[in-house]
Amino acid sequence: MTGRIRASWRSVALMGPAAAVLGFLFLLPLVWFLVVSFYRVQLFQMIPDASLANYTKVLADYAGPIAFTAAIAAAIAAITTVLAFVVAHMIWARGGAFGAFLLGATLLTLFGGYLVKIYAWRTILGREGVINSTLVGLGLVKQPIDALLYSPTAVVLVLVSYLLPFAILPLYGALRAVDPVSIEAARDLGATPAGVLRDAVLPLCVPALATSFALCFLLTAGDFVTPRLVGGTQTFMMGNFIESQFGLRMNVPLGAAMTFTTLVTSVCVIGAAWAGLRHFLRAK
Amino acid sequence: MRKILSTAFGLAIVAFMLAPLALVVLFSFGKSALMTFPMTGLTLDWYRALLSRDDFAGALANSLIITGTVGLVATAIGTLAAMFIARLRPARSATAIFLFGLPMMMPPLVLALAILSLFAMVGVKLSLVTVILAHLTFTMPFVILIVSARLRDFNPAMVDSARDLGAGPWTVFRTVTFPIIRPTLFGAALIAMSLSLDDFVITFFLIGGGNTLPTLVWGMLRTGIDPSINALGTLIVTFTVGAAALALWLTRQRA
Amino acid sequence: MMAMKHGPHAFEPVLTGAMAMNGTPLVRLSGLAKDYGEVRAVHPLDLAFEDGDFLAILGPSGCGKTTLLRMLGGFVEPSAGRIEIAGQDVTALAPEKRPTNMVFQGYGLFPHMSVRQNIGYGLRLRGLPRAEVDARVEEMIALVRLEAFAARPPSALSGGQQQRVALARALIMKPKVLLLDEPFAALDLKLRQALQDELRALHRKTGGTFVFVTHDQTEAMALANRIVVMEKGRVVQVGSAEDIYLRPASHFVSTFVGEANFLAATRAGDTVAIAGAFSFHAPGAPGQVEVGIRPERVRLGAAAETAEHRFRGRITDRLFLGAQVQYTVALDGGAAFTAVSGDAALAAGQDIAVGWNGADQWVVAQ
Repeated sequence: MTGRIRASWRSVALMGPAAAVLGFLFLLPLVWFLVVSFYRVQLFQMIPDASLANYTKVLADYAGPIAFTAAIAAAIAAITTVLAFVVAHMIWARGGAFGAFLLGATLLTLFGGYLVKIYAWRTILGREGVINSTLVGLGLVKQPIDALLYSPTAVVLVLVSYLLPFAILPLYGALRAVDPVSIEAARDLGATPAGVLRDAVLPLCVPALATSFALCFLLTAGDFVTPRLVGGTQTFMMGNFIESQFGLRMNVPLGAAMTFTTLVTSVCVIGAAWAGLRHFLRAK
Repeated sequence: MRKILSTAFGLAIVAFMLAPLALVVLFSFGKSALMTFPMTGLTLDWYRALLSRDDFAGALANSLIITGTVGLVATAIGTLAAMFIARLRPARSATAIFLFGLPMMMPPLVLALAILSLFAMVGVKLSLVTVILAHLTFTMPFVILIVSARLRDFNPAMVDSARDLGAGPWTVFRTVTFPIIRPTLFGAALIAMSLSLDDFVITFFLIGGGNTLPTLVWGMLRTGIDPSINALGTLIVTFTVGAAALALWLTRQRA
Repeated sequence: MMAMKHGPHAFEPVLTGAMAMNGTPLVRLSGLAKDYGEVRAVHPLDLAFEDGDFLAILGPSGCGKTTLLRMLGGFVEPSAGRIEIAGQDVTALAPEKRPTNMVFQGYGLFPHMSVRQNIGYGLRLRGLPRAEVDARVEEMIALVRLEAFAARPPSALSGGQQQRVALARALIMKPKVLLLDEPFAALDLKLRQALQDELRALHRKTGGTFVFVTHDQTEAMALANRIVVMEKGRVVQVGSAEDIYLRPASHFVSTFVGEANFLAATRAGDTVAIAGAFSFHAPGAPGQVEVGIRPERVRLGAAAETAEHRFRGRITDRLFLGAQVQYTVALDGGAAFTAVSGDAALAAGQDIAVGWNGADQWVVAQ
C-alpha cells in the first residue's frame, strides 16, 4: 500500500511539470481561444457570448481566402511529401557516404533560420536578386523577370524548400523500419522493383506520409511570414488575415473564429488525404 | 545512368534546401550592398555595422536569456516526463508521446495567439517570461522524443544490478542512469535551444517590448535594404545550425 | 543423382554415375564463384542435382553456404560461372524472373498483409484470375494447417506459424526449386522437430526440389537425401547422410557431422599402418593420415573380444547420459578414446578390452 502511494507520488513528480506545461500553456489556451471565438466585440471590448456570428462572418467573408489557403497548402504539402519521399528513399536505399551526406544536409537545414531562409529567398528571386542578376549578366534575358517574386509560385517554392527537411525525417524513419527481408521476398515472388515499392514499401509508409503531409499543410496554413515577404498582394493567406485581427483590426473573437475555421478545414483536408493514401496503398 | 540521375537529383535537393542559408552567409562577407553575382570583394564591414547598432546588444542579450532558460527548463521537465514514459507499457507510451507531440504539429501562429489571448484574459504582462513559457510548449516535445528514444534502448539490467548492489532510486539515477544518458541530455538541450533561438512568430506576439535576434531581423526587413541583415542572419544560422550539429554529434556518440 | 568437383579446373562440369545416364540435371552450377572484394566467399564450384532432390547445404557460419543459396535465388550476383535450371541459363535473371522461390531466414512476411494476402501475393502478381488465386490460397492454407489464422496479420502469429506462412507463400508458386535459408534457426527444439516432420511430408506430397541451408548436421541428416558439406567457401563433400557420417572425406567433415576418435597412422602404397598396432588395405595418397572411428562403433569389454581390431585400455571417466553411457578410455599407447555404449555396468578405473571392426573405420589425410 505504501509502495503504491510512493510510486504514485513519484509519477506526479516526474510527470507533473510536463503535464502542467502541456495543460496550462497548450490545451488551456486553445480551449480559451475556442471559447473566445464565440464572444462578440463592442467598442473594442470583448463581451462574453455564445454567438455563432463570428463563424457566419468568417464563412461569408473569408470562404475564398480559406479555399485559396487550403489549395496552396495542399499543393505545398503534396509537392513536399513527394520530393521528401524520393530523398528519404535515396538516403535509405543508397546508404553509404552519399546517403550520410543527404541525411546530414537534411538534419542541418532542419534547424535554424526560418526567417533568414525566407528573406534569403526574397533576395534570390528579387528583381536585383541572384537569379535575375545572373541571367542578365549571362545575357540570357534582357530584362529581369519580375514574376519570380511576389507570386503564389514564390510562396510554394520558399515553403517547399523550408519544409522539405521536416518531411524527409519521418519518411526516412518509416523506411528504416521496413524489413529488408520482406523486400527480397517480394522480389522472389515476382515483384519488379516498382512492384516492390508499391506493395512492400509504400503501404508501410502511410502513417509517415500522412504525418509529413499534415505537418507541411498545417505549417503552411498557419504561416503569415512567407506570404507577407514573398507572396505579394495577390497571395494573401489566412495567416495574414488572422494576424491582422490581432494588429490593426483588433478583433480577437473574429480572429479566433478564423483560426478554428482554418484548422477544421485543414483537419478535413488532411483526413481526406490520409484516407486516400490508405485506400490507394492498401494491401489487396 | 540511373545512378547519375539520382545523384544529380539528390544534389539538386540539397542545394535547394541549403542555398538560402549559404547565400546569406556568403553575402554577409560581400563588399557590395546588393546581393548579386559576381561578388566584388570580401569585407567584415556588415558585422561592424551590426555591432554598432543601438538595438543589437539588447536583442542579443534577450535571445541569450530566453534560449538559455528554455534549454535548461525544457530539458529538465522533458527528461522527467521521458523517464516516466519509458516505464509505461508500449501502447500507453505511444499515446503519451503523441499527446506531448501535439504542440509540434500546431502552427506557431495559432499557439502564439491562443497563449496571448489567455495571458490577456488572466492579466499577465508580456515580457521575456511569457516568451520563455510559450517556448517551453514547442521545445519540450523534442526533448521528450529524443530522451525517451534513448531510454527505450537503455538496458534495464543495469538499473536492476545497481539496485541489487545496494543503490537507492536516486543513487541509481545519479551514478548509473544520468552518466549514461548525459550526452543525450546535452543533445536534447541544444536542440531545444536551437528551436528557441530561431523562433520568430511566438516571440513576436509575446515579447511585448524589446527584441530578440529574429525580431530584429524582422524590424530590419521593414526598414529597407540594410546589408548588415546578412551578418545578423549568419549569426542566427551559425548559432542554431552549430547547436544542432553539436547535438547530433553528441547523440550519435553512443552508436 | 549428383556430381561435384572443386579446385582450380572447376569450369568443366563433371557428371558421374546415375546423373550422366539420366541426361540433363534439373539444376547445374558450373564454375560458380563469389568474391567480395579481396575475400573469396565461394570458390569456383560445380554442382548438379536432380528433380525431386531434397538437398542440404551444410557448414559452419561463414562457410559460404548462404551466399551459394542466394546466388541460386538471384539475390547475389555471381563473380564467375553459370547457373542453369531445367536447361535454361538463369545466371543473369533477376529474382522475380527465376523459377525459384525462397523461404527467408527471418521470413520477411509483409506486416501489412493478412496471412491469406501474404500467401496469395505472388499469384496475384502473375495476374491469375481472382477465383483461381483464392482457391489455391485456401488449398495452401489447408496444407500448412493455418485455417484458423488466415485473416490475421503475421504479427499475431507465433514463430512456428510465421514459418509456415513463409513456406506456403513460396510453395504456392510451384517453384522448380524451393530454397530455404536456415528455415528452423529461430525456433526452439520441439517446434523445430515438428516442423521438420512437416517439411519432409510436404516434400513427399509436392514432389518438388528443395534446397536448404543449415549449420545443424542432425537437421541435414534428418531431412536431406543429399548433403553438400562446405568449409571456408569450398564444397568438401557431397553424399547421403550415411556417406558423410560413416565415410567423411576429411578431418573437418568427420568432426563437423559428429563425434569422432582419431588414431595417427601412415600410408605407404595401398596400406595404412597404425604404429605398434595393425595395418589394413586402404588405397590413397601416401603420407601421414588419421584413422577415424565413431564413439558408438567402439566396443568395450566382452563385445570387443570378437572385434577385428583390438586394444587394451583403462576407463578414466564415466558419464551417464540416460539411454547410453559415455566412457573415456585411455588406450595403452597413450591415445584417449570416447566410447558410447548401452552397457552401464563398467566403472572408472577398470582395465578393459577396446575394439572395432574394419568396416566402421575411415581414413582421412592428417
